[in-house]
Amino acid sequence: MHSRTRCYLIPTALLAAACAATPFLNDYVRYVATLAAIWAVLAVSFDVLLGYTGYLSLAHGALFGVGAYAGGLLTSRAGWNFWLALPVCGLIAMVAGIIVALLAFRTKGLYFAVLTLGIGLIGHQMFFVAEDWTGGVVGFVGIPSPPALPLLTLDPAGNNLIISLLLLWVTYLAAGVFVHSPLGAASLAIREDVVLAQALGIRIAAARMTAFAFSAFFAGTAGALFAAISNFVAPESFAVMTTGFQMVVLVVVGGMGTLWGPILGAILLTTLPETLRVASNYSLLAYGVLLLGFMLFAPSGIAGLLKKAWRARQTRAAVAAPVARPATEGVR
Amino acid sequence: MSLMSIRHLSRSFGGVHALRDVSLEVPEGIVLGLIGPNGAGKTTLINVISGLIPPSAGSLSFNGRDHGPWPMARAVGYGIARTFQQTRVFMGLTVRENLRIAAEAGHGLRRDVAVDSGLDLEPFYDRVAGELPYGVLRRLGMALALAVGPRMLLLDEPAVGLTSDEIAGMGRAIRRANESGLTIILVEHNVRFLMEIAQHVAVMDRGQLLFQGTPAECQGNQAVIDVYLGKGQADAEH
Repeated sequence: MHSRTRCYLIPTALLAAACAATPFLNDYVRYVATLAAIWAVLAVSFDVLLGYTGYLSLAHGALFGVGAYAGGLLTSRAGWNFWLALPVCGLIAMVAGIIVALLAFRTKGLYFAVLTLGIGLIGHQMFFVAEDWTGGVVGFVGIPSPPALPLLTLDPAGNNLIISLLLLWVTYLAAGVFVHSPLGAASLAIREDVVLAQALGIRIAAARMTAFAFSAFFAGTAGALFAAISNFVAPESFAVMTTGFQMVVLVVVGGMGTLWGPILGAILLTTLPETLRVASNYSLLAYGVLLLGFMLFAPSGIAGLLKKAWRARQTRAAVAAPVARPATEGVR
Repeated sequence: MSLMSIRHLSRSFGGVHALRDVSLEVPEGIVLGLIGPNGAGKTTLINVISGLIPPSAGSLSFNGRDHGPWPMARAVGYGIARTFQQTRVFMGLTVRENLRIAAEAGHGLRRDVAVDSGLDLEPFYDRVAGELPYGVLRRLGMALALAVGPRMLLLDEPAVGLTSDEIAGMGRAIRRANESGLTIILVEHNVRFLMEIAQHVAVMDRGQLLFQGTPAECQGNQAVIDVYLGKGQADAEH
């Protein structure tokens, strides 16, 4: 099977399987899976920027918040349909992201990360200050839930999960299209060697801006969905120290520059605190130990470990395979 | 007919004059060898032509059109590609990914470059560049420049650090590229290698153009022998 076809067929098959399994899950599992899917949307879109283009943005927690508050305002105050509001929230976050990027791309490396950290902190503070729009410290309450999907008779938890999975599917496919496009090739070149990329005629500004805008758009849609599912948002959900860093962690632990690795990272790091809830005092400790373990022993993340295991398996299979070959082989 | 005209080009770094009033015509379809002692300004000239650094004064015209100092990405758009003195490829990516990036940057015009160029990269397609031997990396660097589909190729010491077999292979690849219509400026300290390939030679010294002519004329020029060639030939014999 052609590798690009496989890139689109496998996630589609997994989406179908997950949707088919949804009616058989209890509400708690559905809730955790919904959160994991939303985190996975953030992680996949962030991987396009961090993993493929090599820019560490700490402003994306705030962009996630922009999408969430925009979703709240559009659906509850302006009365917009959720399905219309969802992409519009993405566009609003994307415009905010482009403004951030115009500032941040004046710097590079560590300075880029520090500048986006500053923007993330300002953005988070703005959610407190702009009380009329955000509800300030009290939060934004009364955000309508996502509407029921047509043709499906699911309760709200099942409906939320399917919508989250659909958004993840769209994000993954869009990210796949991006990384296989000339812009994706340009992004990889920028990550690897900016001077060589320029020497090959790659327009650095256009490629990295598109990667930033892409990640901001999907962070915005994830924010809007998160707001609709939670019915309530507050500034603490969008702090640099929480969401901003969490996105980095998901991508790094999952495996940068793979797209599917960050999904595994999101699943692992969303379910881990839930499974350790019985020993909640130790859950953060376990989280930290896990991060340390990956950084020290598996810096290419879960995806790197799986790829290594797969290659080892293939090597073993090649060694074990019979050496007899068809008699015609030497003729070719 | 000249593909590129360099007029009164100068470039200073603080008080150091790396290029002083260099004027040079580069006819289309030739291999122009650029030689000179260390610090003569050869790499600076390549850096200015390719847009890596702007000139302090002077101008360039390419393909009959005057161009100001251009950023490197735009120079590629005009049809100028380059390699680097220090090997520069995408070390974290496979050879296939390296070539794909370059082909995409060149609008997919030269996807088959690795086969066409005779650089013998097919056996390494799925290897990560960072794991490859130095000689293969030099060939990959040239393949990347070829893959963007240029009209002029600037090669900055392509034979440096290569074994004699690898140098011969590089020479064949350069000739092959030239025979396909590419104009090449070749900066090289290996004078014997350069003289075998170049149809024209330009000699630089202390930022200035000392001589321009055929390899035979160059080898008979006393000023060139005094400044560089005598030393270069002596080096080659050792």
